[in-house]
Amino acid sequence: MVLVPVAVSLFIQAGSGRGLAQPLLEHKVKAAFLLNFTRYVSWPTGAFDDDVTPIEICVLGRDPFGSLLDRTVAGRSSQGRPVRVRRPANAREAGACHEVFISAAESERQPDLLATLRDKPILTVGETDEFLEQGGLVRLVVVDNAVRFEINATAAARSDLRIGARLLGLARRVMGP
Amino acid sequence: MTSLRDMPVDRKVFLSIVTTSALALLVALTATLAYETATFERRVVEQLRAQVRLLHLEVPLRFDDSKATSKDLEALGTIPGIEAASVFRADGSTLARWVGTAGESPLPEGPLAERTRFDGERLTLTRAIRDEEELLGHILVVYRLPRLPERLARHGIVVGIVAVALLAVALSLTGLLRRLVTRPIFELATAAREVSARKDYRVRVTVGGNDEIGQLTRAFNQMLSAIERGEQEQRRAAEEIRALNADLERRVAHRTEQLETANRELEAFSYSVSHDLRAPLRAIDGFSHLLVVEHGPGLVPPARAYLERIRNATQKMGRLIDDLLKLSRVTRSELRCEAVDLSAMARQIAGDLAERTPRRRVRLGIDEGVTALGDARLLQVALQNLFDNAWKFTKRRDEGAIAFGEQRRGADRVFFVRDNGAGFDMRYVEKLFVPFQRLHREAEFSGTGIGLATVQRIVARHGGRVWAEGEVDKGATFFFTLGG
Repeated sequence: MVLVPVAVSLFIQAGSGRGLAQPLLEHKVKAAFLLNFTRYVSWPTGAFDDDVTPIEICVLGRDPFGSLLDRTVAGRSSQGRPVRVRRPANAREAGACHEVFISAAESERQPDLLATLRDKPILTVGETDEFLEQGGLVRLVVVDNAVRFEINATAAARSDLRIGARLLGLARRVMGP
Repeated sequence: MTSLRDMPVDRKVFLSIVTTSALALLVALTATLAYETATFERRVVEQLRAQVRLLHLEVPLRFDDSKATSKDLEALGTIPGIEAASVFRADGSTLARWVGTAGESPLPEGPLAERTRFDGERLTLTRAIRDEEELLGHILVVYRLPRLPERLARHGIVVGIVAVALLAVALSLTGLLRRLVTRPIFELATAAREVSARKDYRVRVTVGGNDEIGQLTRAFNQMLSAIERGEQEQRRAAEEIRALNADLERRVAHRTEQLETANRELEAFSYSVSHDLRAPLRAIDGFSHLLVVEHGPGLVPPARAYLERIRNATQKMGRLIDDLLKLSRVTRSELRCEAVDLSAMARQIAGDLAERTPRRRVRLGIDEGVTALGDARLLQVALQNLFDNAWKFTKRRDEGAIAFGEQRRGADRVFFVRDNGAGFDMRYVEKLFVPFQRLHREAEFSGTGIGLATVQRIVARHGGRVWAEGEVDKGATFFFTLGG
């Protein structure tokens, strides 16, 4: 068997135990995480119009990725659906997203944004320390030079999202019942 | 082998059941181990596929979580047989590795090109981890095939339980067989022993069933009946034979007694006849002698010639009577055996003969040291007769030759008296030893015809035999043996 790294994701190249040397690398990994989270989360049936409706990953507010996220997602699929990146202008527009990323730069607006998205079948992903306490679902955190994540299982249950057991198992911390 | 052959049947049965069972157990165990070895790789591959699917290693791979992956590998390591494992990223770098306590197994630094590598003891499997058609990395697992003792130990409990069960089954089967097979055989054997030891053919064995043993028992009983019948018949036959024998013996004794009486009477008769004949003969001889002496000159010549003939006849009759008496004595007298020097006896007889007829020229060849066991008196008579004959029949020779000696013919000692006399025609050899039978005319060689008959009687009384060889004008040889 020939090991051709055709589909080697960026983050794997970036994070092969060699740490995150630079912010660019960190964002590459985070972009990959955003894509990979969609693989292990179940949305309620109403969240998609039909079987081919794409999964929408939205960046709400300031976008730290630039074109990184678009490049990560390009041509990839998740759970048999195409994946699309959208940048909604406000929280209301983000209501149709399946996953919403709020960068640390939006920490001031963050409670409001989360309040708007609250209880909707949207996997919210953030970076600030209080993200989960503010009702966010997944918090990305850099530990020992590696990107890890924490999950608010209670909020996920309220949002009618089912987070895969394996994903929960990888979380550094799980808030929940 | 002999000890096995001598072993009681139920022990044999038990032994064969146990042996067969143990053999079957051994074969089953071997087959199991062989099957296990043969299917080891397939089972391991299936197990690994199931485990990897269960672990969902694609998830930590996607999140590059080496800590979680290590934990997964550790969990995988609890599966017996797994010695080491590692997960590689798609680019071949190691995400996580786990090495069991055995430790010394060299875990490759990257995924192997072949999916399966088997080096006899270790099986190294490399499998790709994919998710949604995307290659995420590889897992590599090193298995160790359990050593034979471990595998045996693993099967040990089962084997032990089965062995105990087999032993129990063998024991109960032996018990059953003992009731059905061994005991009837044992009873049969006991009965057979009893019969052969006591010769009691009235014993019968109870017939158990109609199987081969039952048939054997029935046949045995029938055989005993037959033997019993046969024995009775044999006893009756023996009784009859004994009665017949007794009767026969009685009759033989009776006949013998009659015969002996007749013989005695006959001998007494011939003796008394011979004896009584002597008195009148003496009278005839005496008076004819007186007649010749006193009145001879007065008689006319023909009368004197007649008288001469009477005298000759009288003398011949006297010799005849003497010989008859001698023959009769030979028959009647008791045999007293002792060592006899036949050479000395022959010399003395020949000396007497030479003295009586000094004009004869006879060359004597008497072997030295010929001895025999026998009655000296009778042997003297026999030898005398043979020498008399030899002397008589060589009288026409210018120089006679008489030899006496001994030859060995096989185990027999054969004595002989040989002469170069007139001999005889072998056609008439049978007549030689018959009393009063003569091969020569009286005018040629005088004789009574009783001598050789006497020799034969003596030799026969010693348990020997006598025979002759001869040729006309070439001499004769008389041989005799003296039995044991």
